[in-house]
Amino acid sequence: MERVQIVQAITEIVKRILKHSDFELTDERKAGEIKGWDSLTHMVIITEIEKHFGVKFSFSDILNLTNMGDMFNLLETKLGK
Amino acid sequence: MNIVSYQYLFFLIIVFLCYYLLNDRYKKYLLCFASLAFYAIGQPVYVILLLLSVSINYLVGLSFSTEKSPKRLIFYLSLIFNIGLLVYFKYLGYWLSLINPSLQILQPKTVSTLSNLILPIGISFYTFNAIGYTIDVYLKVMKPERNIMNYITYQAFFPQVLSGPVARGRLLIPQINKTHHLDYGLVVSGLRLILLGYFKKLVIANGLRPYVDAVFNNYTFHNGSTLYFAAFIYFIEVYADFSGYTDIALGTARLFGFDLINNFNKPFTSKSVTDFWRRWHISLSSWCRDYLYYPILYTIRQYQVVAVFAATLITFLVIGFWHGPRLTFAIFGISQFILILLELYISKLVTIHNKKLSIFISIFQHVFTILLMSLFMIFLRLETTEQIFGVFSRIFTSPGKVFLPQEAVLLFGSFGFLLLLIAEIISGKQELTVFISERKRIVRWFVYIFMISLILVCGVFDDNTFIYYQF
Repeated sequence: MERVQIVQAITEIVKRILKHSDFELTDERKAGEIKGWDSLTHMVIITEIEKHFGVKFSFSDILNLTNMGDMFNLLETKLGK
Repeated sequence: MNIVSYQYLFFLIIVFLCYYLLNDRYKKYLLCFASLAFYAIGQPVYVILLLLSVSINYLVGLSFSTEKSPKRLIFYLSLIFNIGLLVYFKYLGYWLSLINPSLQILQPKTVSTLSNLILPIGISFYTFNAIGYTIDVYLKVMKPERNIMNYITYQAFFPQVLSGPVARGRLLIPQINKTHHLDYGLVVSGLRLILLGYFKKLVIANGLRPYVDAVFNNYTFHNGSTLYFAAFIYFIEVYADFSGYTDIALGTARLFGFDLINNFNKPFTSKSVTDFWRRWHISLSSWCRDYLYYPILYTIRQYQVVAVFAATLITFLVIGFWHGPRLTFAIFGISQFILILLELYISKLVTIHNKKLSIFISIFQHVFTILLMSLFMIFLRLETTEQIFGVFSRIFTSPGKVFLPQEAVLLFGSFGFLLLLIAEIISGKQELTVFISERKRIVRWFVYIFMISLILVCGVFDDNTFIYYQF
């Protein structure tokens, strides 16, 4: 899967869960900067991403995520790119 | 050794001079010996316990880099050791005495003065330092520290060993490995923080303590309004006492070129309980968030909302119990859990679009948060559920005229706090001492001289133990 497709898919997931589209998921974007993205929605978003892409993140995978770019890189690795 | 003492100032000057006069390769050894000496002067017997904890955790960290070691088994055994140490010294005697009162002899006394202390001072802090380190090395967030003296300095760094801030290996160990040269700016910044710390402790905290003690030690004689007012004053006292200690610790570390985690970010400007816990005892709350909340949440994330409930409850129970074994601390933790969940629920239901109403709501939120947290600070002050029930029932059923002493007992402490609060609000998002450093020279020196004058004229030097020594 291309990175662009990964970004698009995650954007749709986040829009669906946060119920708004007032954001752009750039590599530098951090979760807390987006309106409505709190600890509860963060966990829901992670779970939905896992379901959508058919992957499972370990705790240390999640611990090392500092921004959206890290998430995209992680997914590219998990999807075997 | 009490950090508000001539002994400490003398110790600090000697270590500071030796540090910058020594050849670079010996600086680390000096810090290690200074940290052990600092601890030993206070509690010589418990240096053995500290060294035991340091040795075990150092070896555990190294074992994680060995190919064939049973890492998972060692990790869990190290957790059992560290938590077991804390439980034994801090909790076991008290909990056993609840089952059988004759076992109360096993309970170490909590501190009222340093001379009565039996509980190993700083054990909560240095044990949390150790647990955080072993988790980070186990999860490969950082490499283990191979130099034992560096590791001793990390776990027992003298500015923070007694009352924190709780350290993170990945932040502090690289600084220990770095060579620090004398930096005039950092030394001045450190001295500024130390001065602010002494101001908070000696003028505000010590100034307010007599009133708080007088009211709560005789709570049955006071009406609800007085008790609530005393709770608010106690909230200020704890903040000034603990943040004063933190400032002295951070300032001391900065003299040697070290940057420690700040424990406070203007908590009296909080606009919700959730916001409060991002601003209060930050080193502990962030430690619990990273090493408890997130691991629990992600392990059971398939349970979604229930996972958030469970992770939040366990985290706040631990924060509560971290303060001590009493049921009152557990109730404190549970109360914070309930308040945070209520806030999360309300924030999802209510969105204010009207700008003028938003401003009014914002002011209300700030004031309400402080008034609410004042009430719950009572759980940290009183020792039994009976006392708490007694105080709470009076607060809600017995209003009256607030008791104010005839002597100006509260005057200087309150005045000092008012100045501090105004300065914190004016400084906005900047750290207060950074804000001061950016003023004109005449303003800076006026502030320094004013603080020193208040310390000398209004400071209370009688009892200089810190509230958080007992935790």
